Amino acid sequence: MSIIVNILSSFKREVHEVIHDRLYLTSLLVMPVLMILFFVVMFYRGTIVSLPIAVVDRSDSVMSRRVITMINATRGVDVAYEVLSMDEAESLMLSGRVSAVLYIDDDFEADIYHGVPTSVECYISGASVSAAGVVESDVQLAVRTFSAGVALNRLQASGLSYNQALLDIMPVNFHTYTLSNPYLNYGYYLAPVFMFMGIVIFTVLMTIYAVGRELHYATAPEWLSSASGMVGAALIGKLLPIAIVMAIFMQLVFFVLFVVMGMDCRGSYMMLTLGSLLLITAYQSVAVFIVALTSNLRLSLSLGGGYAVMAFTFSGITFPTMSMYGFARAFAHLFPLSYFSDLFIDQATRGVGAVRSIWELVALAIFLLLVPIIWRCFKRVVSDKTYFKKD
Amino acid sequence: MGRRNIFISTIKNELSAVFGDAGAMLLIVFAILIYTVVYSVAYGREVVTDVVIGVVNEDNTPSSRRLIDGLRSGPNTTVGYNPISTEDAEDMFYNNDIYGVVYIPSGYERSLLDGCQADVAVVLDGSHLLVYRQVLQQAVADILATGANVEVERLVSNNMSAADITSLVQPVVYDGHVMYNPSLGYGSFVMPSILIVIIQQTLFIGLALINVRRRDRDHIILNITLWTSVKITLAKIIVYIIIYGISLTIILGVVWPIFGFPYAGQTLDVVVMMTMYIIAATSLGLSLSHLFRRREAPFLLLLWSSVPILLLAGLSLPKEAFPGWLYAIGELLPSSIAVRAFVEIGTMGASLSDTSSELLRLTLLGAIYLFLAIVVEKYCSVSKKIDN
Repeated sequence: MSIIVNILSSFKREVHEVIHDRLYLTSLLVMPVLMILFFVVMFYRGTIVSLPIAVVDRSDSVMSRRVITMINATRGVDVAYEVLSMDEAESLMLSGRVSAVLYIDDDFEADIYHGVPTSVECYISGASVSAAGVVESDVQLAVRTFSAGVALNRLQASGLSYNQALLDIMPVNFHTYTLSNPYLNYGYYLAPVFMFMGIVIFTVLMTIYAVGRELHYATAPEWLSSASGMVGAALIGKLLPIAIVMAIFMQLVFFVLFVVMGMDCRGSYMMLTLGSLLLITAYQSVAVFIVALTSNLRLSLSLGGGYAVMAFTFSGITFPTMSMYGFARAFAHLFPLSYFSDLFIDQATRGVGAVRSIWELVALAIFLLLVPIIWRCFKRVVSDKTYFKKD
Repeated sequence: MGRRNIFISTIKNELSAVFGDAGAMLLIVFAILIYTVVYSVAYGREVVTDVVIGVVNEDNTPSSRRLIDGLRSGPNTTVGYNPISTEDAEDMFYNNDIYGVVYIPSGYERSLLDGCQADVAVVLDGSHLLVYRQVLQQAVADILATGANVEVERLVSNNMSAADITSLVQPVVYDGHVMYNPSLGYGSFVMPSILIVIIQQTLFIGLALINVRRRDRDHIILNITLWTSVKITLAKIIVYIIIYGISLTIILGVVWPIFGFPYAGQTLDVVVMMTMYIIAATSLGLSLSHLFRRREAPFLLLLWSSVPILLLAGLSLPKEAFPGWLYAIGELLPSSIAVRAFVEIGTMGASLSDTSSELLRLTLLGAIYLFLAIVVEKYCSVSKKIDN
């Protein structure tokens, strides 16, 4: 019973600290809300539409205008400029005003009528991979459809029926089925992990701040005495308010994703919640480990902040971990966010059974062992005055 | 210290503030190098290749095996498994053993030989768009190539001439060329933006750290003239131009070539652009630094904003994907303009005149923030050492 009383006593002291420290209050309660709001607004639309491209139509014919109209009708591309020369078009590309340039040669229409294969040249700026992917697939699809139409007309003109002509030009019909995120929504793909990363940053920084400030301002004896000198109870009482707030924010993120942004949760919500709690406590363990190791608030904030920010890259959401160098793949295992983002994708997006995500939960739980590993060092740091007031 | 030497003494003080404080040195000198190397290692492989897919081949004929050979030879995909049934394939898919499934139903070859349309299904995973795109591209290319071969055979059997067949198989070809980053490497795409944002973030946090420390130690608010304020601000900016200039020389001269990131910039153009950027970012950082009263505050309040700032530039996620007003807010940050200017000059090899609109805005922004920094310095300058 005395442990619970001591935890509660430390908890109350921490809540009092939060309320009376404006920086603590703002960082714990206001900034995470701003962060979530930002990502909701950023990714609410979710799709890349109307990327500006330029056209150099040397043919200026019915056929060239038809293919341009078909390209312009795609969702991802907008023919924003029609220019006379490639020099003009290149200048538009170099100044970042267009993502691609289409070039249609003088003989485009004549070649089509004379049965000579011709082409639509597309120069895409690879400086933005996300834009290039959209432009490439939309333009390619439009040109292919246009080309099929030309072949279809020609075969019909040679005496084949429409159906026979269609079978000749498309002997293999392929069907694509996208099992998760079928609308290929960038928001569903990127927003969740961005928001989780935000929560992770605040969890790490707030935990380091909560513990580190007791050393920095030499108030650790007062903190420990609030828990009758029981270091374990004092630590749990201190970490609990942050964990509760961050757990609530994770629920807010889930609400935003599944209700406001309309994303499906195809798997187990319970697993997501359990995973989110383990994610928060795993990062709190890392934060305690860092403070114990450095016993310096500012250095801990630098190291912890850097570690938390890097987690996004190594979660593999932007560039898949499986395609990284071997040691980068190994490094990715040092970030709890990597496991949680896998768990989230599996449960929310792919809807795999709950059992398949147990390994991720175990991996997250392993990070909790950092506290017992560093415990002796931690006890010494919070009890010995020589570790206080380090700048 | 005399008034005439204020410029030199400020440079000395600022250098000692950076190099005499482990925290400031870690942020302003080492963080940019560490982050650049770590992110380059993560993104250094550039392209997603050999994505493992499974093929359910219910047809099991020479024609279906020919299609599988195409998928196996890549480069985007490799056929890791040949599950016997769709249930097996589903199991492997959900276990992350495979990232796509090509399903060839029985009767595939029969349909081709009978002059009918054969069906092939491709099951994709949209939860990772880069992997999705690679599998889709490879599957589409191989299936279309197979289709084209069959089309030729059918047209030959219809007694068409070679010239007619050539004009019918692909009358209009899509001829795509990717410029500046031909392999669409992810690292080449994202690293320039990351580098620019790291410069700004380390400057903002580092300058705030130094300023709070100065306040803690030398809590005397001086009443300096506007001209003195100009000299102090310019001296500080020069210090950061030198420090970041050295870091950027190492990064663009060593890290970039090691990882093979494209660099087509003219040295002088890059120097001019980066100098303008560092002036703007340092000026804003100096102005903001006076908002903080405690050394831990910049970490707690600014660190999370790195990714939002990166996104606001409208390059890693094109500006067409988010609201215009949000993009407009981002334009108030030097990094947003500098990201685009650096990609254009550094990656695409544009000249200063090609990027004149970006550079003009960067100059304007820099001038406004420089004026702000000078005013703030005049009214908030804190020092013991400068006798004014």
